[in-house]
Amino acid sequence: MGVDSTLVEALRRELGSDGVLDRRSQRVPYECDGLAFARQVPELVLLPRDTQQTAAAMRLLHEARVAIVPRGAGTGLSGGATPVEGGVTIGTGRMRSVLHIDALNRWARVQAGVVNADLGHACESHGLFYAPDPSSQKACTVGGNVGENSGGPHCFRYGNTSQHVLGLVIVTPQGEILDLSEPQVDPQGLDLVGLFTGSEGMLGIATEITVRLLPVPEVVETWVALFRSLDAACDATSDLIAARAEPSAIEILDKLTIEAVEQSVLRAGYPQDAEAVMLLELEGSEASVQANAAVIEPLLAVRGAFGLRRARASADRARLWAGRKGAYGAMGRIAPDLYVCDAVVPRRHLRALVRRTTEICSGKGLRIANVFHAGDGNLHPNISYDRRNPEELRRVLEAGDEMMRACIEAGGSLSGEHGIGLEKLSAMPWMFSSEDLAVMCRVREAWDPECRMNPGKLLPIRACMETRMRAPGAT
Amino acid sequence: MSTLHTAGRERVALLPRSAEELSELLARCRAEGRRVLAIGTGCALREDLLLQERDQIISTERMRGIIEYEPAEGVVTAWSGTRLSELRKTVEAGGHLLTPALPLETERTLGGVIAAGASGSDRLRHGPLRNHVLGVRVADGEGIITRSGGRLVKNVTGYDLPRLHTGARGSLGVIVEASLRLFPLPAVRNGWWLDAQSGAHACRVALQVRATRAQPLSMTALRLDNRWQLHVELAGHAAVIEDEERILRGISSSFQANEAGRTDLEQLMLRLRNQHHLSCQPARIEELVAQLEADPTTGDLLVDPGIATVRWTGARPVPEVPPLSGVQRALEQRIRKAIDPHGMFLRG
Ligand SMILES: Cc1cc2nc3c(=O)[nH]c(=O)nc-3n(C[C@H](O)[C@H](O)[C@H](O)COP(=O)(O)OP(=O)(O)OC[C@H]3O[C@@H](n4cnc5c(N)ncnc54)[C@H](O)[C@@H]3O)c2cc1C
Ligand SMILES: Cc1cc2nc3c(=O)[nH]c(=O)nc-3n(C[C@H](O)[C@H](O)[C@H](O)COP(=O)(O)OP(=O)(O)OC[C@H]3O[C@@H](n4cnc5c(N)ncnc54)[C@H](O)[C@@H]3O)c2cc1C
Repeated sequence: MGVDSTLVEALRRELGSDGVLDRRSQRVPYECDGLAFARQVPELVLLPRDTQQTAAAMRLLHEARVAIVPRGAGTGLSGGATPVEGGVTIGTGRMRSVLHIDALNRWARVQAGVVNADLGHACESHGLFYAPDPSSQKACTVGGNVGENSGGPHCFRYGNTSQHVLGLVIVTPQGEILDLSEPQVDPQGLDLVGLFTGSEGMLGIATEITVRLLPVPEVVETWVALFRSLDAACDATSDLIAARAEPSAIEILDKLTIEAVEQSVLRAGYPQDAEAVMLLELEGSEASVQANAAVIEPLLAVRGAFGLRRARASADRARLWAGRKGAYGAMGRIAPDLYVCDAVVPRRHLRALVRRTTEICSGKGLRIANVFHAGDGNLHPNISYDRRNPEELRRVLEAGDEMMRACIEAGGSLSGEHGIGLEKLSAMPWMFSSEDLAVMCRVREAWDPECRMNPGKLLPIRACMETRMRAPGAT
Repeated sequence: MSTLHTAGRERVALLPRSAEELSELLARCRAEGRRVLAIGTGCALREDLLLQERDQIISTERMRGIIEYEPAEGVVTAWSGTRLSELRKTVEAGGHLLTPALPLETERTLGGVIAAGASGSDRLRHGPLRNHVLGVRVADGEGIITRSGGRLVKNVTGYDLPRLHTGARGSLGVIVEASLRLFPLPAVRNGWWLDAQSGAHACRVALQVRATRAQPLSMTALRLDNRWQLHVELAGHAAVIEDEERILRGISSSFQANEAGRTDLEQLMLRLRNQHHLSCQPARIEELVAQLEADPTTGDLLVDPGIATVRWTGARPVPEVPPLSGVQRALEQRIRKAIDPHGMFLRG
């Protein structure tokens, strides 16, 4: 079977005709996510409005044995939402309601397609906020954040998405509804919500998400400190970690990024004579911000920080952050495409690894800009390139592989927030043994025995084949 | 070998010294068709656990020691039999705070605490244990050891299997090694308490504290011999503590600085282990505690108002929890079968 006219008709009956996009011109916009060089036009795009419609569609696709790719806003950078050949993409673009805010108990329930920043605005009037803040927050969805277990600058203090997800409604690959939406102190049974978060759309589709909200701190202060070298900024970060200082975010932007930002409409007033900018945020009570500041400032000075600016007024703070959050957009000026790498290194090795990534890229004649979550050791070496130039693309991918290998050799990880998707599939065996991967394959098959959900992502096919051969009763 | 008393009977537990020995033991159990109960010191097993004659108890007590602790990183990795007390001592020397804070830490093993999903009273500030288990190595029913997660504070590579093992009570395999995220050791730490008129009153005060800028490490209300107290633990920079002390006294002038009250709290926690416990939404805690304290069949009571959890002794049973939905039950069974295909591991 597969996608045929009978299936399309049945889907239309469930989702209405505007919930089923089958004309090619309607489907092409869904051909890729932020990993722009991987493209595939989906056979169909479905846009359900709620859990019931999603379940009905998933049941039909289950009967027809069609592969499914969940999709939020498609801002993912690892190809998680890249369509699969012959498969259907289910988008959450029409599931945009904030369903409930319980201010007293500090949680909210939203549909999966709610944009991260919209959730933030919705809880503002209650004096609450949602902590995970990917730089793409004006576009990315809470469902996509759950898919990738996304991070952001403030995850240094608050942790990635999974620390903030209290419950989920999941539609299983078979079209059943798994309602785990009730916020609980501890999970009843296995922690399925925790397992689902970060599973990159391979275990089902989350249709509703219950998230933890936090009270807005009394004081929030944004700092910008300048450094004469990227090395010094990295060392200052390692010092802050070693001294157990407690800002809520530590971000670094290098010179190329600063220039791009300052030449764009996002001008943040970052001085262009610095080789690196560090953005810090301190938050809490007045007393705790002051106490933290007293620890942090001298540590920065030791590494030669200069031009320190501190802003409390929300408009000033927003301006300092706008440069950081818009850095990727601003880099669009440098080259048509940007390859955003994502890797983690132990925080004491920050300087060595940032240097190494720069060497790798310059050795291949590539331009690299660094803008990253330094406090978590989460590097983002960004390579500017032009995807229409296949030779350049090859060098970009080689550099990506070499950088990841270097990070892993130093005790790091392939991804801190963007996920594995298609992009890093072949690198998984660098980090995990075939036995490690086989366990993940078996867990995936417990949810989806036919591996129809987002096939070909995260888990290398070979690992899954080996699992099948090892499985009891397998022939 | 050592012996363990469970369900009133003495049982022999095997004590592998290393991951290799553990693997061999598991492979042997598998060959002999024996089920396995993984334990740490066995101090907190389920009371309704039923062991059969052939079931084998394996304790990780002797697989202990720190594998890696880099003070400049803020992560500790240790063998599962390492006592919480040893972990705490090691990381405190490097300026770090270990969560969860539990009583009797000399008896609690890292693996047991993770398998029990036991968050301590400091959860109020630091969140539940499952947020802090960064990586695990786990032995399966054939003795094969696999790894998930890592030793990094941020990492989304692969499925989050550490969360699956946290709280699984050993039913998915034997935890061999684990990595935990650490927190800064507070410069100053002190306790405050007040005599409350009732449990509901203690909760009301605690919720008032929760609504301020103060961020206590823990807040615990307890009823011991018909007296209610609320304990609040402050921790952090000296100036922050001073500010928070002012906030406490502003809420109630009867707050007093105290070390002595702490002993009662420890005592009660020990008495309450494996007793009934129940959680609710924070806004409902006052009502729930009022119900419990009015019931003559409730004995001692210990309440975490900020986490909205109550523990008690006495005859009053826990209300029935609604059963898992059919979909969830079936899925859990499939996951268990995927990880433990021969059904080797008992839930301890
Ligand atoms: C400029 C820019 C800056 C970025 N900054 C950050 C950052 O700071 N931190 C960070 O972590 N990421 C960042 N990202 C990456 C990206 O925005 C995040 O991964 C985001 O969470 C993806 O959300 P989305 O709605 O676009 O999801 P998509 O890209 O559509 O999907 C992401 C994955 O989740 C799955 N998925 C989507 N919805 C669901 C659902 N409802 N149920 C189950 N699975 C689902 C998809 O199948 C896919 O595997 C950035 C991206 C860009 C372009
Ligand atoms: C204030 C307080 C709060 C507590 N909160 C909780 C709570 O929220 N939830 C809770 O369950 N307990 C809780 N406890 C009980 C207790 O803290 C833990 O169960 C105990 O720390 C476990 O330590 P142990 O090494 O003796 O493990 P054991 O008693 O030996 O084992 C505990 C559980 O873990 C399993 N286990 C032990 N070691 C391993 C291993 N290496 N690999 C796999 N499985 C293993 C066992 O099968 C058993 O299910 C609490 C206790 C107190 C006093």
